[in-house]
Amino acid sequence: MMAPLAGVHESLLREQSVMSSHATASPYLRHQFDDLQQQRVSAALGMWAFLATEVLFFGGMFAGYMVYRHWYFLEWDAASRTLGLGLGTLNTAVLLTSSLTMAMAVDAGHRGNNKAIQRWIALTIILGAVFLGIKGIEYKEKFDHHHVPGPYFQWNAHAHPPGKEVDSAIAHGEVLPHFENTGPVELFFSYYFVMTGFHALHMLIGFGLLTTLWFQAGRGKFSAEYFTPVEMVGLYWHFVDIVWVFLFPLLYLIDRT
Amino acid sequence: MDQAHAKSHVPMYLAMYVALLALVGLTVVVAHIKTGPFAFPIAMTVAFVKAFIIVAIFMHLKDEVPLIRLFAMTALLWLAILFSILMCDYLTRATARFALENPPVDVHVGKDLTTPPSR
Amino acid sequence: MKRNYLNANYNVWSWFLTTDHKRVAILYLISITLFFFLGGAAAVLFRLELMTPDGDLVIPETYNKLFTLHGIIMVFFFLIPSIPAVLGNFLLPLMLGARDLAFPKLNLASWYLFMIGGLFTLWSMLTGGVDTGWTFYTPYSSTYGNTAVMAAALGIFVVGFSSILTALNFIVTTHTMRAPGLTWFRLPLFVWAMYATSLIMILGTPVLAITMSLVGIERFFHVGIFDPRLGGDPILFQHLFWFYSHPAVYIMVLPSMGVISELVPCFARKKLFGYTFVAFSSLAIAVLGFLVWGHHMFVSGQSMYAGFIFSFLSMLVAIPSAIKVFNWTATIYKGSIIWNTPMLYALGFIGLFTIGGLTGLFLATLAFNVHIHDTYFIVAHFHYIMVGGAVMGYLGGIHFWWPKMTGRMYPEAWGKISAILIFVGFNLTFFPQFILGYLGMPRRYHVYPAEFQVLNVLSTAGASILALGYLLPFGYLLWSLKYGKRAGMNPWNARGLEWETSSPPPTFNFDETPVVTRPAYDYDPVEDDQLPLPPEMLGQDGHRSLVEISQPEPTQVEISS
Repeated sequence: MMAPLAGVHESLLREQSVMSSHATASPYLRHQFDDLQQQRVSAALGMWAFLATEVLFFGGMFAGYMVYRHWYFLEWDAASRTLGLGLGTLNTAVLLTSSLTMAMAVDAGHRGNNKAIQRWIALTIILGAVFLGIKGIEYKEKFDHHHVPGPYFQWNAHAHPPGKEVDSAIAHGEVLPHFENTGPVELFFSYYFVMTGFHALHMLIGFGLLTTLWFQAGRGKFSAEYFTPVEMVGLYWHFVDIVWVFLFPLLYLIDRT
Repeated sequence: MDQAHAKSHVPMYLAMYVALLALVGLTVVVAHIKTGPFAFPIAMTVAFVKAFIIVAIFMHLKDEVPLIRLFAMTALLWLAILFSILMCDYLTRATARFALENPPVDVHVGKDLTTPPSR
Repeated sequence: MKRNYLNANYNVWSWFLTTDHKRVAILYLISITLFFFLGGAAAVLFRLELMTPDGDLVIPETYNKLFTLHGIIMVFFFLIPSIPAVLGNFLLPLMLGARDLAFPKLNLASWYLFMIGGLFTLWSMLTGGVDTGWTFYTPYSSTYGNTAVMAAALGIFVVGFSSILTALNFIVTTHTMRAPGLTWFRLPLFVWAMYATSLIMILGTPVLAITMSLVGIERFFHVGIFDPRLGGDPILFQHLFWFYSHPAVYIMVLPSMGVISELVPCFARKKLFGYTFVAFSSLAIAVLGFLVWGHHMFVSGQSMYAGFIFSFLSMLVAIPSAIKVFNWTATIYKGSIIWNTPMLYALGFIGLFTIGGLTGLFLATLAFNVHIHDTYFIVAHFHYIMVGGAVMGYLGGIHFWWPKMTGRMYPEAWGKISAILIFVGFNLTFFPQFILGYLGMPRRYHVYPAEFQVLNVLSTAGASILALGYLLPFGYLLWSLKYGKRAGMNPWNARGLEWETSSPPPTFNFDETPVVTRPAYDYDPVEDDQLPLPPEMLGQDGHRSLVEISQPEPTQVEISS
C-alpha cells in the first residue's frame, strides 16, 4: 500500500522553498518557482538550451558550406575575393562593439540602473543598425555586379582567363577569373546570401527584443534583484555576434594572398 | 541574490574588447600571407579564440554553474558530430565536378535532360 | 466534485490562454487525435488502392500525395508530439512534484506553433497536396517538383519550433524543479525518457529547420543549393535531412519506452529490474541515435566508407534498446501479472518492438540493405517500431493515466477488446509487408505485379481491423468522460508522485509540496499479496483478479510538509 512519506531530504534547489512562506515572496517571483535563485537558474538554462538549438541551426548551413568549399575551392576562392574586405572588417568591429555595449547594459542591470540600461541598449541597437546598413550597401554592390544567384547571375561576362598579366588584379578581386562552369561560383553566393541573410534576420529579432527591453527599463522594471531579461537578451545578442565572428573569416577571408 | 557579481566587470570587458579588435586585425593580416594549407586552421583558431572570449567573459560562462557549461559544450560537440561524420562521406568520394562538366544528355533527341519542366 | 484543473474555469479563453500544463496537454490530445485520423484516412485510401495490382482507384500523382500526406502528418503531427506533448506535458510536473513546468507561457506557445504548423500543412493539402514523400528528397522537391512543397515545408519548420519549446521546458524543469528528496535516480523512468527525448529534440530539430528552409529558399528564389546543374549535391540534403530524421525516430519511440517502464512494474507488481541500466540506456539511445543517419542513404550515392561507418554505428544503437527489453522482461519474470488493458499494450509493445528492432539490424547490414532498400520491408520495419511500438505505448499510457487526467475509468472490457483487435490487425497489416518487401515489391508504388496481390489484400484486411481497433477507444474514452466510473487518487495502486494527488489534480497539482524518501517503483508482490488491496483492485469474489473497478474509493496518502 502507500507507505507514508516521512522525513525531509535535501534537494539541490528546492530545500529552502519547502519552508518558505509566500507572504515574503518577491514581486518578480513567478508562481511555478519557489525562489528567485531557482527562477534565474532556470531562465539561464533555458536560454543556453535555446542557444544550443541556434548553434545547430546555423551549423547545418556551415556543414553545407564546408562541403562545397572542399569541392570547389578554386571557384570559392575567386568568389570570396569579390567581397569588400574594408566594409567586412568594419562591420566585424561594429558588431563586436555592440557586444561590448550589451555587456555594459547587463552590468548596468547588476547595479539596478534602469536609465543606464536604456542608454547602453540604445547604443547596441544603433550599432546593430549600422551593421545592417553596411550589409545593405554590400548587398547592393552584389546586386549591381550581377552576383546575386538566380536567373540574373553573371560571372564570366566580366571575367578574363587567368594569366600572369591579370594575376595581381585577380588577387585583388578587381578582375574575375574565367570558369568553364560558373555553377560553383553561384553556389558560393547562395551560401553568402543565405548565411548572412539568416544572420541579419536574427539581428532583426534581436532589435525587437532590445526595443522591448528599452521600453521595460523605461518603466523601471529592472532592479539589482531582477534583471534576468536583460541578461538573457544579452546572451542572445552575444551569440549573434559569435555567428558573425565565424562568418567573417569563412566568407571574406578564404584566400587573400 | 548571488553576491558574486558585486565587483564590476567593466575593466575586464574593455580589455577583452581591445583583445577582440586586435584579433580581428590579426586574422585579416594573416589572410594576406601565404600560409598554404595552414590558412584555414589559423583562421578558425583565431575565430575560436574570439568566440571563447565572448562566451567566457561577455556571456559570463566562466562564472556560471557547471551544468550550463555542459550545455554549451554539448552544443559544440553535436556540431562536431555533424561535421566529422558528414565529412567522412565527402572526403571519401570524388567531387561532383565530373557530373557538372558532363551533364546528362538524351542521346536520341540530343536534348539537355537537366532543364526542369516549365511551371 | 472537488475543484480541479478541469472545472477550475469553464470560460473558453481559460482554455485557449491557459498556462496550466495539464490543460495544454488536453489541447494537444485533441489536436493530435484529429491529425491521427486525418493521416489514417490517407492510409485507408492508399490501402484500398493497393488491394488490386492496377492503379484503378486513384491516379499516380494522387497516390503519391496520399502517402506523402500520411507520412508528414503521422510523423510530424502525431508521433513526434504524441507522448511528450500529451503525457509528458501532463505528467512531468506531477512526477517531479512541481506546480507547473518552468516556462508555462512557452508551453502554450508550443501548442499554438503546433496548430499554425498544422494549418500550413492543411493549406498544402488544399492547394494541391505534396507528392515528394515525407522525405522531400532534392532535387525533386527543390527544383523539379510542382506541388505545394513550400507550404508543407513551412508547416514542418513551424512545428519543429513547437517541439523545441516543449523540449526546453522539459529539460529545465527536470533540472531545477524536482521536489525535495527527488534525486535523479529516484525519478520515474518516464522522466528519464522525456529528458532524453528532449535532448534529441533540442539538438536535432534545428537541423531539420535549416534543411527545410534551404529547400524553401531554393524553390522560392530559384537559387541553387542542392541543384546538380550548379554543382550542388542532392545527397547533402539527404545528409542534413536524416541528421534530424533519424534521431526523430528515437523521439518517437523513447517516450513510449518510458511509458512501458511505468506500466510493467505496476502491472507485474514488481520494481523495475535494472533501473540504472534503463536510465542510462535512454541517454545512450539519444546520443547514439545521432551517429547513424547514413543508414538511410546506403544506396543514395554516399561513399562506401561512410556506409561502413554508419553500418557499424547502427549495430551499436540496437544495444541500449535491447538492454531495455531484457530489463522489462526480467521485471515481468516472477512478477504478479495483472492482465488489464495497459498491460496488454505494454506486452504488445515489447514483442512488436523487438521484431521491429531486430529487422533494423537486418537493415543495418549493408548487403541486405541493398536488396530491400525502398521496398515494403522498410515500411514493415518502421511500422513495427512506430505503430507496434510507439502507438501501443501511447495507447497504453493514455489508458493508464486516463483516470488521473479525467477522473474517470474507461470500460475495461472494451479496453481489452480494442487492444487485442489492434494487436491482431496490426500484425495482419504489416507482417505480410515484410514478405512483400523481401520478394521485391517497391514502396511508394501504386501498381504492382499480380503475384503480390494476396499479400496486399491481407495487409489491407489487417488495416481495416486496425482501423476498427483505433475507433473503439476514440468512442469509449469519450463515453467514459460522462459515464465512466469515477476514479480515486490511485486506482492502480501505482507508485509515483502523480498518484498522490487527486484525480483529476487541482490546478497547482499538490496541496503541499511532496517530499520524497523512497526509491522509484517501490512495488513488492509479496507484500502486495499480504496486504489488503484497495477495493478497486478486487474482483467479485474478494480476491485479486482481472482488474475490474467496482467502487471508487480514494486511498488515503499522507504527505508530510
